[in-house]
Amino acid sequence: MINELSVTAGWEITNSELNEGTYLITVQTTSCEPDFEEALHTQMHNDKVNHTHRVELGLELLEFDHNPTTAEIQSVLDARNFNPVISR
Amino acid sequence: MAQGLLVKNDNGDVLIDSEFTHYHFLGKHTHASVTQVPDITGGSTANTGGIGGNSPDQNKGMQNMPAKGEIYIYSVPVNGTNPPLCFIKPTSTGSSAPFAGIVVTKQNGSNWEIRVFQSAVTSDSPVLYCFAPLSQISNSAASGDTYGLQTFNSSGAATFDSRIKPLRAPGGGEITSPGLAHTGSLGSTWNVSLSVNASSVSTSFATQSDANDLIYYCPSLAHACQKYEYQAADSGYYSGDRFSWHRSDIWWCFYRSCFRIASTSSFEANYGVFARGHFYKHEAAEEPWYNFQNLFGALLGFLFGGAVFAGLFVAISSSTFTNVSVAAGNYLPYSNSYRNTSGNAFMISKASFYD
Repeated sequence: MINELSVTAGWEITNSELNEGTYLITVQTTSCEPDFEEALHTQMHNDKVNHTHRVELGLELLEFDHNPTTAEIQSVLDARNFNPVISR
Repeated sequence: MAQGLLVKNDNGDVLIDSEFTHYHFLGKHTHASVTQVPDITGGSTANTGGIGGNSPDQNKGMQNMPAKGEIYIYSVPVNGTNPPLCFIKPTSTGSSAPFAGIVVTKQNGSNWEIRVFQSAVTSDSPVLYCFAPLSQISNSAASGDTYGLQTFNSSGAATFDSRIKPLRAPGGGEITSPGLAHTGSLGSTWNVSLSVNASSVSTSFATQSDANDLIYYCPSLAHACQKYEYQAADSGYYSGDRFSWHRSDIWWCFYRSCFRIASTSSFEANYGVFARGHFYKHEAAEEPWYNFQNLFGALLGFLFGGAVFAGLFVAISSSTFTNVSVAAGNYLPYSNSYRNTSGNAFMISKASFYD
């Protein structure tokens, strides 16, 4: 196995707080370049072919007047142009 | 009361009560010094020179961070243990005026130190109009008038004296500060976005004739603290060499509520940037493939550590990368939230009463 970064893209709530009627939701987002197929990846290493495995983690703070659903959080992240996939 | 004086207006509000120690004009004060909270910054970079594969070096300082407000420090002599009640005469009024509020009131020897935080740096400075209980004001402050009204409590102590400019508050009320100071996205990649963009909260008071004559008392009670984090890592091959880099940053601002006279009948609350900081950690490795295993292994085990980062960053390695979190640590009292936003009482008076 080639020992390089491999993560799962997406988002997760890292903090949720109800403050004076407002739900403050802190979300950590993770974006990454797609993994290569394992055999191809091995061959790329054998041949020392230029390639990358970029991973990015960001932080978003969301406000709601109610306890949000997953879809509502996803909708706000979409509006902020969160994309879990980093295109090569 | 068995005896004494109690004066009320048509609404039943007490104007003078001889048993109550009324506040009187103590004096007008300009600041002794001005300061700002120093930025809390730091970071380290290791082995990133010449790294291929887009290792990022930008914005390792305070780029894109909002400007801080400034803090005016006053020293107010008060002959007693009760703190002065200090009204702010702002540098300007209206919808473009900076916001200001008292953030510190503390006894310092025989004086009281008052600190006023203003949301923006200006060439002019706010002036304080201070008041204290009559018992803490020298009799020499009295005008030479041989007429007027003076009251005494049941112990015989003077509690009101019309010759020493009693505090008059023709307006007042209660104001709520905004929740978050910055709403919306906190940043993008290495570009932080923490400027105050909350809408000001407005409340009305009894209409006065001239906004520029107004002074206000409203201590800053609300605060907000917001942070932005961004981390990126990359690894792979570049020009025949294996490479790996990892950078992690945290930016934050601590905001204090402050206020302004928006018009002859409108008082507004918002935030100013009181303190701010930025820390980062950036490490990389690049080696020909035959040497890479050792360096790469070391980088995988890379931990953010050291005294500066203790509590700020948690251990990071490739295997835990998705679980990275940045704790509030020693610098942030909390993050991405706010406190004490409601129920902030304020009083309005006029500088011309006391000039």
